[in-house]
Amino acid sequence: MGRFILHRILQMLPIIVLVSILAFALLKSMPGDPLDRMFENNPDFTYEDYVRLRALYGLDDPFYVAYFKWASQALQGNLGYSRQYRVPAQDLILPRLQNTMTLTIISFIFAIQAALAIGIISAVKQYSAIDYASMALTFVGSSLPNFWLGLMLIILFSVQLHWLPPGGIMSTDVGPGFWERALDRGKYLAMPVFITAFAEMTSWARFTRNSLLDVLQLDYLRTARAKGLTEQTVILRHALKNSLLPLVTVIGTSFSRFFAGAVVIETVFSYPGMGKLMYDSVMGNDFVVSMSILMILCVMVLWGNLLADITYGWLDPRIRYD
Amino acid sequence: MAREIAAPTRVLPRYEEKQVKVVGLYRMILMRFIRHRLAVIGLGVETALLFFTFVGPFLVPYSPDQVNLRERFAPPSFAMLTPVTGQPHVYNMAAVSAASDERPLRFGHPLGTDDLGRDTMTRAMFGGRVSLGIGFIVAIFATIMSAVIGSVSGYAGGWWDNLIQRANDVSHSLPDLPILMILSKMFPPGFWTMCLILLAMGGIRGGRVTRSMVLRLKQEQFTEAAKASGAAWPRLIFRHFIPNALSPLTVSMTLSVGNAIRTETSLSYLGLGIQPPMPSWGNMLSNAQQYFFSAPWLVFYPGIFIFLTLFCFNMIGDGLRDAFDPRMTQR
Repeated sequence: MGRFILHRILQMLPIIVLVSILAFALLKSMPGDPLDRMFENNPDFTYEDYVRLRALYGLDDPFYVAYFKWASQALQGNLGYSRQYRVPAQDLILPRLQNTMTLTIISFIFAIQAALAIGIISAVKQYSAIDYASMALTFVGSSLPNFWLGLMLIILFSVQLHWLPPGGIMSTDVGPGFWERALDRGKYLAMPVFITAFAEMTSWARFTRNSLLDVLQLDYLRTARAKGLTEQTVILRHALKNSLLPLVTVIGTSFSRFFAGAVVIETVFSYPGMGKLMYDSVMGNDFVVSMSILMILCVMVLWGNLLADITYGWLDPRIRYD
Repeated sequence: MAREIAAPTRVLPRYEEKQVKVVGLYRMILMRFIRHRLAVIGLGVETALLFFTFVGPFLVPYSPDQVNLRERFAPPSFAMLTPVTGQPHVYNMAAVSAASDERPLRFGHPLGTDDLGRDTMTRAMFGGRVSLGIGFIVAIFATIMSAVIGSVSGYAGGWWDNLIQRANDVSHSLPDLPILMILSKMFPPGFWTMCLILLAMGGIRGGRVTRSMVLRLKQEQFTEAAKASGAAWPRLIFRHFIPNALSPLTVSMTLSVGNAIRTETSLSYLGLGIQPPMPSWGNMLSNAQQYFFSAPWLVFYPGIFIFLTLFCFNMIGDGLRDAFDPRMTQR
């Protein structure tokens, strides 16, 4: 197992390098000169200054030199300087990364709980009303555009019912107590979490149901029932673990969709996370920030895939990685 | 229900007592598709939407960019009175009863109007042309691209296969929306640029289905026979492998129409896709967001069109999958 993980991490490296080269090439070919902002409001800025600054910042370097400079700085945690906010990009990204992780992890937990519950119930009660209803729900859920669902929820819960705030991350007038603050954050997180979780939950629930149905026909379950185990034990302890395998693969591929969805959902709810920052930086031509975010997202997606593979091996001891 | 056997039509032997209906392959696929009720409904709704977007503009009295500041934020109404300065706006049944000679009854705005008094229904029709058009074009070309790339990769094997598969890995490890956002910022998006941007992403990503299909077909005897009779690799790929992989390709094409539309509308919603004044279902929504309170219909209707389209394509894809290969069915 250790060797397998090492092998997979080594496999990840060339992909990360390749993506970083791509990202850097995109960054270099972006329209607009990084120095524009510096002299746009400065009448004393001469052409000689411009040439000197270009040389100073290494903007005239050939591509590979510039790439290595950028990569070595990025590896040391220096991602560049945001033109829009005039702070180092990492100072901008890290707190927002935290917010995005909060949103994503909570949604992930909710999604997996709901998917397992719905999947198990509709597989056990196949062709019942509850099965049809939940499968219809999953079809509807996979066709709902998430930004529209967000807007409709805002209209319903914020504009009509005044239950939840339409966007943002926390109130300004919240008390100091932990629970008060947690409740406040929860109110702001409720709708984004629901939408992020819902889209993935629907496809996961369908997968759980289908693979559980496949497993339920196998002989060893008849054996388990024959030796007198309760139905609950048969399903939850014997069938479920085996039926989780395809689900783990699906979840492994869903990380990139989670982060892609975060861009839209955070923008809809003006939630100050990485997705919103991505949107703002793309709109504001602040490509140093957007490329750094892209790299971070990419690394996180790769780690997610690795995690899924490890889980796969842990769930299925038959798989040998040599 | 008669038994169905996929076989060429032939005269059945006399002695067989039972009446066995012999059905051709395509007819059988069609029959299975028709039995999938939701898929048929999806196909019907989708056809209606296509009519709505492509024929509808000839039937409505408005044009998509027709600004009418007297009729700003008109609520959804089939009948209305011509607005007159100083008098209240009258819509629907109230308009029918209040119609007079100096303020005659006229056709209203069935889906309301926006902040410039443009008719939402007309804009939705033209937006649908854009969104559906992009969806179809991207899906068709992305499927062709990924089929060719996938089968070359599966057939050539070795070095080429490795290269293409690693490129595939890279494109899968990138979250697509951020990349597309950056691309559409770099290339000012119009209809065709948008298609190209979506194609660049979708074309590389597919191909796994065809690849695994080709890997299987390569072992088949007919491949060997074709090779023995002197077929070169282009002939093998285009005449043997792709036709054999046609049914999964059709399914994945149907599903990717929906995906392309979803991505296009997301980008346009964010303001990075199709730019106003050209309407798209996505950018109609981004414009509507400011008028939550005063004009909720501006948010509601474009989204409903997107939802219906995605839902229908998912259903049609599901039905096609069942029809082509009942074993592939996810109960």
